[in-house]
Amino acid sequence: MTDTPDHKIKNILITLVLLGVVGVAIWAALSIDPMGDRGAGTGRDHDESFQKLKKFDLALVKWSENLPAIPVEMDSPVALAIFDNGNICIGGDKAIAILAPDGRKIRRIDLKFSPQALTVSGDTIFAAARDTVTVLTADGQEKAQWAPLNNKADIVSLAASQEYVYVSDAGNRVIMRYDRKTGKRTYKNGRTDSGAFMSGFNVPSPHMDVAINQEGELLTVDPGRSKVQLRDTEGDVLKSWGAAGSGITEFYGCCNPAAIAVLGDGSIVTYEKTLQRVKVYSLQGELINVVAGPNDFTDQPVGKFIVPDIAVDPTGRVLVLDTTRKTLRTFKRKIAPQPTTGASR
Amino acid sequence: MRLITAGILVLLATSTCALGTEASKYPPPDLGPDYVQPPGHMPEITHEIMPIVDIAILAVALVLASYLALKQRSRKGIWILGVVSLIYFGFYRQGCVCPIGAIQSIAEAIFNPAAVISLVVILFFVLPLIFTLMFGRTFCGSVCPLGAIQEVVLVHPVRLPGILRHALGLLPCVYLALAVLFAATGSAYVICRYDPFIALFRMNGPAGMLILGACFIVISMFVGRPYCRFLCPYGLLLSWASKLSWTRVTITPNECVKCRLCENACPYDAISKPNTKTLPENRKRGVIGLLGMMLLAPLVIGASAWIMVKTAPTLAKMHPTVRLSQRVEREDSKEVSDTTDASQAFRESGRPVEDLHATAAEIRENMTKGSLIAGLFIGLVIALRLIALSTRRTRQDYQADRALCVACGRCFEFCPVDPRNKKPTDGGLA
Repeated sequence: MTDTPDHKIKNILITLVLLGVVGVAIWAALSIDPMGDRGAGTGRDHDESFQKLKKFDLALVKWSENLPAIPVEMDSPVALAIFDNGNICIGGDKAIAILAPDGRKIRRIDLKFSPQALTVSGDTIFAAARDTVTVLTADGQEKAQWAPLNNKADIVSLAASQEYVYVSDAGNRVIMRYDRKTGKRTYKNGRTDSGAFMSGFNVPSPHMDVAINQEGELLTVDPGRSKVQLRDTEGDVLKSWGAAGSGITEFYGCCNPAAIAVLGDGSIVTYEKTLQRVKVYSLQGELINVVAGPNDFTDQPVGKFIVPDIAVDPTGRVLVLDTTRKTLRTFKRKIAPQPTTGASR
Repeated sequence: MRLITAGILVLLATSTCALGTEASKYPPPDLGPDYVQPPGHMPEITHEIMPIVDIAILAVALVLASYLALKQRSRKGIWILGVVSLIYFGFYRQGCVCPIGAIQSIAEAIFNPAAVISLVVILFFVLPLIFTLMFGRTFCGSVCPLGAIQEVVLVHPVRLPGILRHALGLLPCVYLALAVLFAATGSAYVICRYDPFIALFRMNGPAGMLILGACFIVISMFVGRPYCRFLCPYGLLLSWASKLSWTRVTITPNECVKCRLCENACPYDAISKPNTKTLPENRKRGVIGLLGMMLLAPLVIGASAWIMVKTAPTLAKMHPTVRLSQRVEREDSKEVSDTTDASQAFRESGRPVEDLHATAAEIRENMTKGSLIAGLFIGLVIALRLIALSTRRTRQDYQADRALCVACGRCFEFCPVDPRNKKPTDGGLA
């Protein structure tokens, strides 16, 4: 080995380069985060990371809360539906509360079961316990109780059209269709077998919302795949969109959107749990605007929590049953309110 | 020492027969209380051809590498074979299966009766070991894609200070112990996770892995085979096997004339110089040094075991169940205000929290026991290295170090005694 000054300088330079590269390599190795300290589950940085996820372009928020939140006098409010006249129907605690559009209490209907899902059509209320759908009049008279589902059933959402009631059963991961007048199950394309009307959903946790739009078409959520699907009355998919992610255009984490509703112009309102966001999408799945962001909500508590429900009233307001604060919150468009025809979940 | 090494190798080789049952290798995901996990089934074996091709190519490459290094003494041939291996095993087969990662599968198969291990993995692990026992580390020289990529980019080799070399040379032992520990406890396959070249082979991976790979490439341009010498756990096993090998690469095919031309030829510091002039040193001093090291050995072993046991709780966090348990504990104590998908899914499963904590405690206990064994192993290796450093063996000639030589053939062309060399040149290190 030679030992000239040139070689010495060269070796010093090489040593410096090596030290720098070793430093970068150590940093890179540590950044791989094998123990999940940065967001994968255990670390102190998780909270900080989650706070960062809450940030989005506030210019997208085109709605404001136009009324003070209405306290819901229930321990466990679960479900929300809106009558054509704007009256509000809230289910939970073995009861249904009927409120006027301004939040005034109209009546309370006591039930023998705790409703997990609600929908209304005309002056009829459809309320579901875990495995059974009960049909009620608007003043609480029980009209019918349909045949119970199997013991795996967990009805989490209902949607009623002029002919049918769609029952979303997260336990069996299927959606069933009932003739709303007879309460009998109907099958795809007139089949008479006992198969589910719709199946193949990925349902990691019990949220699988359904809604009907103005055309009588069905909107379903495949929560495990973060997809919203538009289907015809026979359940065939016409459109499917949605992607998982923390970006404002995406659906965060597992099993979102947890709830959907339809605005009068056919656009779709979505609610995401955990990173709580209420957003409006076009039927093609493009984000139109944001109704409320994560900072408008209280972080959901640890462990089991009731996922809020959303609905749209005939005046185009978005109503959110905030199950954490136990209030009903109404959001109205800031600019150019549009008349709607009152479709909800 | 040789007997111990042979014993470890035989144990590792025979343990590969511990084929698993048809149980699931990984626990199913927790998808909520109402999700019924469909019964698992083992798919029919489809007789995929590629694993058989891989094994055949590995065997052929090992034969060829041994022939080129020992019989043909062709540096050019070794280099070309290395490039071919890099292209096939590295870029085409994307670095998997490889013998280095196979250590973990073998360890898991030994310690977890439910683990399944394929014959391909076993052969990938065993074949290079068998060839090393016969011909030295010819696998490292021209068959291993990780070795080949470092060999190809080495443009300006520099020599590291001896003390740094010796200190870094202990890392493979620590890495091997940790890799076996994590695999045996079902925590993680760290060798695969931290393989610096895998992201480059796949042209994909986390940013950290790509940066790490790029750093290793840059370091490899100046420091010969940094991964092989200072990290590779399989290289450590091969170095032990190479010490016992039936035959191995020599610098000269004839008698060494001590011309010193090869002195700087090896960028991997695997050429030992003759020491007849420096020996014998003061015998009394040598004996005292050796005795000192032997007395120090139990302390080193004890300290290593103590350190590993103390770090066991941190190491246990590599296991996802332990992480979940800690997370749930923090949530329950209101230390954090939100949930993770894992903790939420766990809670929705309805499984008692006590069950989770009990499972995590069991894993921690296993990790502590494993850490103790790993610590004893690391300490033993360090102690034996210290004892080896304090002893002197007489060397008459320039010799390729039995353990360190990777049969790359760089030294061949420097030997004037080799009839294949017409123009011997000066050594190559800067």
